[in-house]
Amino acid sequence: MGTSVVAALHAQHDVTVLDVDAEHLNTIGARYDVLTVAGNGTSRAAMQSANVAAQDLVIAATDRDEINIVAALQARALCQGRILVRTSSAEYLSAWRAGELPVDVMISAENEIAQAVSRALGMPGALQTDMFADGRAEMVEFEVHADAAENIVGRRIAELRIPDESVIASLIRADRVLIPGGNDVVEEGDRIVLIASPAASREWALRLARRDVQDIQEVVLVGGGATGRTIARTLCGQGLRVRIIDANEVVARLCAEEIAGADVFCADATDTGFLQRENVGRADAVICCTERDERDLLISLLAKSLGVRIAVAVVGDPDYVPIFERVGVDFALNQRLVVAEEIVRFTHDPRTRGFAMLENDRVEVLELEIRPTSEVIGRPFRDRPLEGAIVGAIVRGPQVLFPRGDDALQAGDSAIILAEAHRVQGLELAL
Amino acid sequence: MSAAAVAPPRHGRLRVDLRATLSLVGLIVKWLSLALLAPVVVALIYGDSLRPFLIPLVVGIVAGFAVERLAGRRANDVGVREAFAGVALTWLAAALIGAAPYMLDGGDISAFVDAYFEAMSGFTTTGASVMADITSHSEAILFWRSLTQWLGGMGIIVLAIAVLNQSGPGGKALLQQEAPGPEAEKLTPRLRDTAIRLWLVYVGLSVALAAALWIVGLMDPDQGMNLYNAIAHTFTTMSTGGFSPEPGSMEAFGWVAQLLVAVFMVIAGANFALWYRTVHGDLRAAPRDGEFRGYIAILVVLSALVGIALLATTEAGVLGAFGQAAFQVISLMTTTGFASQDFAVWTAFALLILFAAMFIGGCAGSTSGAIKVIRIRLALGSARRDVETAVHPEAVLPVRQNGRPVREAALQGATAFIGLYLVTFAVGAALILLITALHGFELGAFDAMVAAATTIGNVGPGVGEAGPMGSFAAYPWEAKAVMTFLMWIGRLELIPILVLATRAYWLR
Repeated sequence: MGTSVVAALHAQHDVTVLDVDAEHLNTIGARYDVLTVAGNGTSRAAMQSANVAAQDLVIAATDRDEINIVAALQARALCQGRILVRTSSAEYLSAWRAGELPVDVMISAENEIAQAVSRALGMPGALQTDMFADGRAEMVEFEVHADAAENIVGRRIAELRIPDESVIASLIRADRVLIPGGNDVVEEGDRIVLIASPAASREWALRLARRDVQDIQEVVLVGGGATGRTIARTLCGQGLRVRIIDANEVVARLCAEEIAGADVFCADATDTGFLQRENVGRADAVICCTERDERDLLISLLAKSLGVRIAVAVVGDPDYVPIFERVGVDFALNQRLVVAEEIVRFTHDPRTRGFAMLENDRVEVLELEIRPTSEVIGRPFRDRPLEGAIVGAIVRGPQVLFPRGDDALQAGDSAIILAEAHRVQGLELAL
Repeated sequence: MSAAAVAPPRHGRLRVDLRATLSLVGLIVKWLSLALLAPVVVALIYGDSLRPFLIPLVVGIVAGFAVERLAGRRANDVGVREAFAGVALTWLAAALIGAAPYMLDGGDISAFVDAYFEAMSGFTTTGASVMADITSHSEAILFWRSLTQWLGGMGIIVLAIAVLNQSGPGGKALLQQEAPGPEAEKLTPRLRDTAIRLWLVYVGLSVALAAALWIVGLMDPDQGMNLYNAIAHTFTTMSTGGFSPEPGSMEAFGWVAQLLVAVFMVIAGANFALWYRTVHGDLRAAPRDGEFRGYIAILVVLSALVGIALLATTEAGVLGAFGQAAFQVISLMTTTGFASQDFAVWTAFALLILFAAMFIGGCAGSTSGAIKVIRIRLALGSARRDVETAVHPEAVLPVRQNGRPVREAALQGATAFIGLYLVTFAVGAALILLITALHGFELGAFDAMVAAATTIGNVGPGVGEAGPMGSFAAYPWEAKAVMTFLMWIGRLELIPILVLATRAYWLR
């Protein structure tokens, strides 16, 4: 987990890595320009040798919740900066929400993945969705298909019927990220990034979804580990019918005991006889989160061949994500990337509220409060006041506005902005 | 003869500390004998003979003391293994104390088998009687009869733990072997506190019922519900025992008293831990509990079925039919055994339902006997799962109780218990039939089955001659002995007694 965080942070921040595993530290030190300190995060002496007192942000992200919490408590005593703790326990998370743990942020990898899965299923056809402004605005990424309900291939942006509460923030074509103007033409395979109200993004979803896509009601989840159970609990809570399959008797029993709403099967999900007997092909979606990526891939493809419409795979190796999506898995999610995204969000300016990463962190979407002294205030968007960035929505008090060319930012606004990652720091300064 | 003779067969060494076990039994006998002081007071008030109570009082204390001393170990040395024999022996010994006054009184149950039957029926809260003529017995004797039920209701061992603070390493096991239901529930960290609290709830409810019955009696003096009857019926209601000093059982009293008794039978048939929580402010403890809800549901359904049968076959009005039906279903399902009417003459369908109710019993942790609702729920849950897995062989389906998954071992335990219970019942019924046949005593198959079910379930009344207004007096003595055994094994829920019959218990 730490490696992904380091990878995401090292370019823009001064990072010190504390780890018990000296060899692992060597690898990290060789790959990234960071300071490495060998030692146990629960030890006060080790914390001091990592100069914790001088840090703005302390991240405790080992695999063990209790170590993270103890490390965080040590850090709390030593430094004034913000403290971020990774946990896999829903109980610790709710204790933190209730204000019983003295840390600034608590992030659960399982929870983040479950939210990501839920968003993916909730907006069929969307590649990625993220919420901003307490859910009043969303960032949604769609792929443009020729067989979509409304075919927009070959049309100019200016010709598109754009719902009132939405802004086209970006077009992603192969490896290029475009901040689109009215004359840009949409091509097949483009990815279109929107910032929109939930209602408008649903309208977009209906227009851009393939004709055969319907609502998700029945889900088959393979792999009942901690991640699988969290996903199952989340989806059950949303009223979906969830079936869990795990080959391990103990794990299957645990799932059945913990999640009363789900039907649990103790079986090998690659057994086609079983899949047919239990009508797995009739499910709307299959979610694979076994421990092994190759099994996830196989099961995803098996399920799709049986007729499941959407396959989601939780992949252990972030490098596999694009490969999985290329061979037919609709969503490949990686825990580390998802958590790293959450963690990176809190390394931003404290004014930053929401945050999302696109295209493997080449593009970021963030929600930022505008300083009253900012020079962009009052300049209409027609004049393109921000280089390499676009304002997708403005949060003005209780209202959320989706700006057109005549609109301008005012003091006290928060803006939801899409920008290339390397411009984000400069942008934060300018606003 | 060669010196290398065959080694003598190695005798298995006894692995049960019998001396500690006996010490426990002696200790409890010693203190339980003090309970004989209560009928002494009643005898003084009513001018009855004191002899039947004073002799066992003295003998019991001396004998108990002697056994405790001669055993040479302390009752606190009782371990988990000794708990089985300890509980089994304690209940046999308690019935001896209970039987002594009947034998010394010289009435119609002075024969040992009769007196021991009546005493076992008392402590096990069965309520089956061999008294041919209740009215021939003194107030003091009948008071003692009711008191034995009250003492046995919450459990003699529980009482001993509460009063004497006797809880060595085997304390939890002792409670476990005696408490009705699959698992004894601890309410507090300390066993003794739990025992005290359970007894306090029991005493509190008893005081409430006695006061209510007495007030009803004061308002309507014609009913005959005087203070004596109020206390005696409280003893046998709260313990779901069912002895009544009145030959006509609850028929002797008006509907208000019957209603009160019915309500308290329902309370006594539910888990006392629930009432403990209710008293401590958790008013939804009982309605939230799955077993309690199941218990009430079964009571309602069976009452309705019997009510419909009565409506169709008797002259009773709607209120009368369903009222009588409800009283009788409550009385038999909670294994109390009171009668508000001679139900033995009801139609066969109603009798069949009442017979079924005898097997169900109340909830775990109550004073009732028989199988208990929780075990039936677990067994049904397990059966339903078996049906579902026939269609979905790979499905994993935990059986839940109050939303929490139940351990597989508990499910197996419940099904095994029901199986053992039915086998024991069947063997008992067959023995009763065989014995009566050998004696030329005419007994129908249904009567014999009811006799076995009513004793193993600690219910009380039979049908025919042994109906609620009659008694088992005329049964051959061997049949009475079988029934006494059934009451004992039924009260302790089979396992502690069946364990004693295994080699593994004593030697391994």
